Amino acid sequence: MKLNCKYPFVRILVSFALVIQAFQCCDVKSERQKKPSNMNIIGAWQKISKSNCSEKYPEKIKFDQNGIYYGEASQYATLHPVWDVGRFELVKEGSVRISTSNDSRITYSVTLHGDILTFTDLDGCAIQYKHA
Amino acid sequence: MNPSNPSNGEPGNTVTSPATPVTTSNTNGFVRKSIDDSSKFPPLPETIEHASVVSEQLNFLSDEQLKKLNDISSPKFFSLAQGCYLVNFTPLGTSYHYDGTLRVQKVGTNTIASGDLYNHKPFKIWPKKKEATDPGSFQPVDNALSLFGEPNPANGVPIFSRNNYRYYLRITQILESVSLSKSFTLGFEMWKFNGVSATPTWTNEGAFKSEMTFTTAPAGYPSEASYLVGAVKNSANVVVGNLTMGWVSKYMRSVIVEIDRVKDSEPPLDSGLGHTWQSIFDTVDWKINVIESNNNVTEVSGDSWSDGEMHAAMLKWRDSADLDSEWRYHILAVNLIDSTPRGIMYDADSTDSNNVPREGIGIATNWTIPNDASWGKVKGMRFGSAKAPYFRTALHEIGHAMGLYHNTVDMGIMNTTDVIAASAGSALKFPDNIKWAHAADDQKRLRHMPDIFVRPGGTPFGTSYSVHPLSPDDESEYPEGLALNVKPVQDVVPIGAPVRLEISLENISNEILPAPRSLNIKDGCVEGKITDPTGNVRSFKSIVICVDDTPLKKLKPKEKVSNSLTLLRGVEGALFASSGSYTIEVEVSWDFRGGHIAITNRTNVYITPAKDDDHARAAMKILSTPDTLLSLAITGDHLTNGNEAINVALQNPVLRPHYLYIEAKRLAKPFGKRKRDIKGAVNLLKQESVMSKSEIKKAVKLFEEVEEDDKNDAQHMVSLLNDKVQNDEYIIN
Repeated sequence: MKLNCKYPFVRILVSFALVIQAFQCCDVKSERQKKPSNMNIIGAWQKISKSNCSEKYPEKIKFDQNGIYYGEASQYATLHPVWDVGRFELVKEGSVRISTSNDSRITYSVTLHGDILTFTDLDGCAIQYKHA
Repeated sequence: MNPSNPSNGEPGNTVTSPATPVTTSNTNGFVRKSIDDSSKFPPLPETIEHASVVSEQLNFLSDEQLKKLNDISSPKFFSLAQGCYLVNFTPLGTSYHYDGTLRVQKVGTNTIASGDLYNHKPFKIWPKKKEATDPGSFQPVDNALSLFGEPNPANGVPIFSRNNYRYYLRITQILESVSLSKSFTLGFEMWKFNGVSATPTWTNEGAFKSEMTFTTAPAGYPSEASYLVGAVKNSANVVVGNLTMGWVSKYMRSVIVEIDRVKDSEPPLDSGLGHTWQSIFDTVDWKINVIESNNNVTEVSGDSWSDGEMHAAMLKWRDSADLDSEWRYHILAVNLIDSTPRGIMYDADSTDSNNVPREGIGIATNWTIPNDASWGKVKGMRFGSAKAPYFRTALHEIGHAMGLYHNTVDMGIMNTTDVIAASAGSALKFPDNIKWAHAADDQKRLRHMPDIFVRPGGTPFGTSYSVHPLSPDDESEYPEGLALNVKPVQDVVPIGAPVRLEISLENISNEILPAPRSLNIKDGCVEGKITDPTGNVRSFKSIVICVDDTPLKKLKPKEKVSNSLTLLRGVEGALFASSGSYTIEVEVSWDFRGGHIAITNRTNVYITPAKDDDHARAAMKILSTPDTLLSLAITGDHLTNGNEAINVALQNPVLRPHYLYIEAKRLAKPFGKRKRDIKGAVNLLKQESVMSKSEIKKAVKLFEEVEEDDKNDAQHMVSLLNDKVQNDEYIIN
């Protein structure tokens, strides 16, 4: 008690250090929690992939907050888009489950670098989208 | 029927002097107009227009009421009954013919129709496989024609073998309502089916017409009065065969839905609200025969089924598998499904182990509906016990088996359960917000898409609607007072170059009229067709589908909306792939007051052959590179294939002027780390370059937004371009 009274600035410093450490812990924890939210795919995306294997995926896709997505085909596509409309959910870090045109639900790996969103399907085809 | 591509000189069509209305009259005297400025063609003799002497009221009589009236009255009235007609088309000088169906739908006083033809060789030259028969048995033959394998008209909607499928008939002209004449012109396009894996899947073999005359049906037809015969003529007016059509059923298509299920799972038979399979499909004129079959299908690996297991169970448990004698769709009701919570049309892609697509679907009875408010009145329920959404899912999955895709225009059958549940509110909770019908465009698809698209075992699931032909409907109205002008920037174009058009929609009336704010093809209200020198038709539309409503503006008298089109490729490939004369038809259409407005006009261009080998090679590169279109429309360094083809064209002195603007546009825009190259763009456009008015305006805009260093070059070019726009000179040199 005496010590505390004698060195009040030490107590303040220690308190500060503890508070900062606590904040840092919280930051680390919230960073971990934020990981899925870093993978924020909500919004409209424009396909930039030109590969043959990506032809069956929509030209534009919009992911809504309510878990529903809407795909839009290129008029010149000869295939109906596998992702036309349905439900999507980020099931774990780097994975998204999307219901497809025949109502199957398929899990795709997904990455987001800058504004480039890349899905990889079960056949290993990478489909890249850019924020529209 | 609204013939979107009428041929000059057809009965009922009159071509008058340039820039004057072309009057189109159907057999009922109803008049539609379009503008034609095809000044290169001499005016053809005018046909005599006849106003209808039939009371408007007669047009609204049902087929039965008209029959009763004809029993007691003279003269007779003629009308096509709605439903399925058995069709026979016999080309001249052949040992074979085509059997098929024609589906006639009546919407008020309008008629929409479509048909399919299957090849039939009555006398086979190849020895037929002998079938094992009981020597003591005698198989009675109920119709003499069946000895030759002809369909029996008394059996209703005929079913033909998929292997013999040959043509879709896109009907462009037909008897619309009630007529005093016993003849009318049937106009149609014959779309040849090239096979499920062929590219393109369909080829339009041109326009045909047949003067059909009502006559007495041969024995066996259910309606003596609904039988017609006619000679078929091609676009050169040469008779190429004979056509008969006789009414056989009020239904357009007839199918079987077989339901097999594991023990304790419910058969999806009705909604619990009065909707049954037949009541839903009555709205699209399909006959549905629902067969509840096995109710004790054994589980192979527990209560949750993989797609492959369901497909194997369908092959094992279904009662019949001959899709060439019946259209049978299969439903398997199981407890749970591995790949989805509610239901799936599993019969596609790798699951389709027998390579026969769209035969079957699976539905899960034991999925537990999430216990949250969005699921409304059925939250927390076992799916099989929630009758309405359970039955709806079965209808939805069978819709996929019939070739339909998801459709969010309303809360109808082909919308997804998730979207419908998410769209419900507190006033109208799920599942009360389900619409128990197919959306209007899906109804049309079920009635009029080609047989091979909708029937089980036909084209694979996943081909786009747009690659298949579909009969036009008749709901568009001509906008009196507006004129569509279509003019090519150059009417003679070298092969391999894009064709540039100037289009404008002008108010030629004294009133203010509504019109689209923009004729930009990307806005979705401009599309068209191109007829090549051999009569094949190809279409063009925007690359990206625009789903928004077309914004309209009030067009003052004499005011016009203008734009330019640069045409190179369409859905069916290169639009100008050979030399010769081409007809380009442009249609501008938009939704208005719950209806549809459309106006068309045509122009002609001549594509010259390759000047030398170097030109031929450059043209081949352009025409064989689909991505050239993307380079034209979107522009960017990432479009490597398209840009490479354009570079080849730029090396060729004949094609170079036609692609200079495309390359200049790319250079003038920065891409990634590459800075904009205004000097390079200006140097290109200083050369002789072919540009449309819109391209000149876009170039001006590009050069107006440059940085200080490039100002001098850009300003000089802007002033040059502006002069060209003022003077209507589109070739820059």
